[in-house]
Amino acid sequence: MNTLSRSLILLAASLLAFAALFVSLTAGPQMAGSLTAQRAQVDRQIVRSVTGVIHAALNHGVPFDRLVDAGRYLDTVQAAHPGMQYLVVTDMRGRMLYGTSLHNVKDRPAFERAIAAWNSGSTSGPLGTYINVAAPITYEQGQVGWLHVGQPGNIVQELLWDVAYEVLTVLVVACILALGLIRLLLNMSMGIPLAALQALLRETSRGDFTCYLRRQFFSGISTLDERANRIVTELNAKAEGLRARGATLPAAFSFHASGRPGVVNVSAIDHIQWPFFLLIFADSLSLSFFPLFVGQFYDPAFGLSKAVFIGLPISLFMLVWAVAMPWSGVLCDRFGYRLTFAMGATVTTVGLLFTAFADTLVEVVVWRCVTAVGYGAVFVTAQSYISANTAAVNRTRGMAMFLASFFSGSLCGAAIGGILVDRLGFQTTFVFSAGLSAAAALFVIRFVQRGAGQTAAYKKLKAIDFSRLLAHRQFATITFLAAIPAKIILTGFLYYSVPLYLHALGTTQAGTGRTMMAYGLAIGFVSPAAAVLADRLGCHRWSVVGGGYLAAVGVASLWFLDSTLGVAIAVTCIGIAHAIGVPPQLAMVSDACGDVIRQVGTATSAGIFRLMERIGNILGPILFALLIARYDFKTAFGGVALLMFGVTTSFALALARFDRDDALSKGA
Amino acid sequence: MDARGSIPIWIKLGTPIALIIGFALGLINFLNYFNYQKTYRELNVARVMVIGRDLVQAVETGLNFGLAPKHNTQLDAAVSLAKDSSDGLDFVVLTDESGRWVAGAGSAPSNPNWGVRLAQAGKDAHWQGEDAVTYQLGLPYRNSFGVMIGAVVLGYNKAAIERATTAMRDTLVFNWLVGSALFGSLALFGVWRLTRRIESDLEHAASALLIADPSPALHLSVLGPEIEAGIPALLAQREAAHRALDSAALSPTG
Repeated sequence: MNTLSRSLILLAASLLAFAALFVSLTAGPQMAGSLTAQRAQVDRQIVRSVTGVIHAALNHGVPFDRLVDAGRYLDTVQAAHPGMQYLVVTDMRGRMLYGTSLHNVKDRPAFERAIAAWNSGSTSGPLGTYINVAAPITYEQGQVGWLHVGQPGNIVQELLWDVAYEVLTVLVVACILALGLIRLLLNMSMGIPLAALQALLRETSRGDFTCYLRRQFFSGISTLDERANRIVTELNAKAEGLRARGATLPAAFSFHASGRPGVVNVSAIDHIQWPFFLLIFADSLSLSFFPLFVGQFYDPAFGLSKAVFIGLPISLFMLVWAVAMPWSGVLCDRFGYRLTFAMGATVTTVGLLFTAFADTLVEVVVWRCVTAVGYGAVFVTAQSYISANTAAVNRTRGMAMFLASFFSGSLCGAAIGGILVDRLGFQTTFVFSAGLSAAAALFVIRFVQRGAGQTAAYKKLKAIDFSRLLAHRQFATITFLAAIPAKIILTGFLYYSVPLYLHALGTTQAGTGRTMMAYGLAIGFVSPAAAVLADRLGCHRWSVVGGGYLAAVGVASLWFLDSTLGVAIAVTCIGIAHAIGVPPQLAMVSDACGDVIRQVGTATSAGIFRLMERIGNILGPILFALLIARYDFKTAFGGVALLMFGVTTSFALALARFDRDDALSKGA
Repeated sequence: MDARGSIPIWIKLGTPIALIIGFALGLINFLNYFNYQKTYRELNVARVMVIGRDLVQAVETGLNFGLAPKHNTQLDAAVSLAKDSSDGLDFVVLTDESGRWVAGAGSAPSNPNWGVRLAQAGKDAHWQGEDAVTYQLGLPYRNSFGVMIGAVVLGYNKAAIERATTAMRDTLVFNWLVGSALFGSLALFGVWRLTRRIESDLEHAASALLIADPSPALHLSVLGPEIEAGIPALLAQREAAHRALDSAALSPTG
């Protein structure tokens, strides 16, 4: 099945690349014709303007070969029209009298020969790699020379190059979507139905004929299912007949009671992973433009600086998200995954929809907080679902898939949102986000089993849950020495420092976006493989330690490589570090803190762990801001790298000590 | 493979891939269209800007000689010449600092807000606006002390630009449909080729379940050994269960 999955992904990726090439090339010729004609019209207008000025000078009696400062005037005209390659004035013998600098002109000798030989009546045409527009300069009914204006010949190439990055982004996003969808569909059509069939075959091999296979819409093996069900039905019907006649049924076989057939249930993380991806994608559509969106409501009357004003809804979103998490855990324990996720996604939908139509800052803040509540519920539900539906040996893998979904959703959403908002505007993009979020809710309602994850007893969140968990030394160590530092690096370095630092280095916004994308890509590519390895080797602790040291190396690399390339390397290192080190954290909590988790509840513990982790999200920007303000970027990065190194070493030493203590207490 | 006509796997897997290809092509064409539209409009602005700058130059030259625009007799001719020098130019108007008409040619709108736009322009070299019929470009002019005292406003026809961009949009939509159909079909074909072995396994497994004999060995290369062994085991258990139920029916309690 893995081979098939890889082949399908390869097929989809190659078809996407060829299809993108196809549409770009087929659109090219028509664009070229239309835009080249438009550009020629601009050049003709410039030619008319320049010849008018020269004509005025000639009319004032200035000799054509002695026009004062004509070169500087042509330079000014060129500067006013970016993209223009040259302006040249020649006499009737083809001698260049005045012109802009020709040092950028390709194959200059051939160009000069062509200009000298220009005597056609045609006023525009190709000249080497340029489109040349020429106009005669006349004086007293006679032509005295030519004015030549040149533009690059291939406007479509420029045009396609302009959107090359965006097209590449679309292709990356489409490939990620294809990858996710192929995996989902393979699992829904083959993986899950086959697992259910295998479960039924295991049951029937023990003589248990009480369960049937559920009819699944996407199942690719429905014929097998039907035929297997028919066998179970036929035997149960016979047993039912015997039972009606008062016969004793054979003890070696089990049959279901009359009218109460059982169903083989197979849970799969794909049931929640895809809607989770969709919801993160939906909310992240606004990541790239949200500060700009908030900025339009700025009024100095609020008495806040614009930077603080813009940051306010973002900070509140983070806060509400963090606070909502433990409560979401409680809801999830009470109502189950299906209902909690659906409620969370619905609340998110409402928040996004009303954000689109918000007219004041207060409305934006309120609706963003509503969105954050839903977002928190979905986040905790998805995490708990994955944790509960993966075996202990695969838990890191499950968490890696969760993180990969989160970061690939964020990456794709931010990239596509940036593209859409330029063309559709804020409101439509938010409405589109809301639509996708609603789709996630519907998906979960349709595919996640009713009541899954619902614990028998409803347990209120209590302060004692926090104190029980925080008093547990392994839980506290993992939280304070691994989870919080990772989040400090994520928000403080990646989200806060990197854009500022790149801006200081003179990098464009697009370049900043591209550099930051490296984080999501590293997570997406490295995380699943690293998780499989960590589960297989059972080395969760060393993965967390390795990730911590690699993050320290990433931040420290800027001390040695003070450039955009250095930032790209640092961001990639941190992406890999988090791909290796973050997914095993929750698995470590589950493994090392089982005793306290049983008291507090799985989803509640996960919610509290994620809440504590958010302290890092809030501390990160503050820590980096203080260090950068007090020292400079380089010193701040060096300091945080050292801090990270120290914290990771303390984490490793603390766990080693707990192991020794445990061994001693067992020995005693 | 399905007697009840359920959808084959290659369609279930191929259709979403085809849809993603359609989505990506749609987005790429969307980008190409907006890029084309932006470039086309920018080229029009650049063309009109050349005319506007020449007029600003003419006005400012007059001002340097102490000639206010309304007293500069050369300007009417320059404005008319400018309007006729380019296709699609609906009007050329000179305004004072409050946006009032000073000189002009062509059919200018009756209630423009050019005074407001000029006040908002600040240090910008120009502003752009539009009404139902025209796109407008305003270029402020300054007196010898650098104070903004009016603007040259040029209105160029929307319809021509929209005709060109609509034609391009239609072409891109057509390309999108052709590309999606072509590459979507290739996706379906590719998936069909890749899933043939699975389909064949499923057919064998489904046929085996119809046979009463539990002995035939199944060879399922893709579905795996558990199903391969499980199906004959199920058939064997069915036989055993039937026998057990039959004997239960014949037993004295039955």
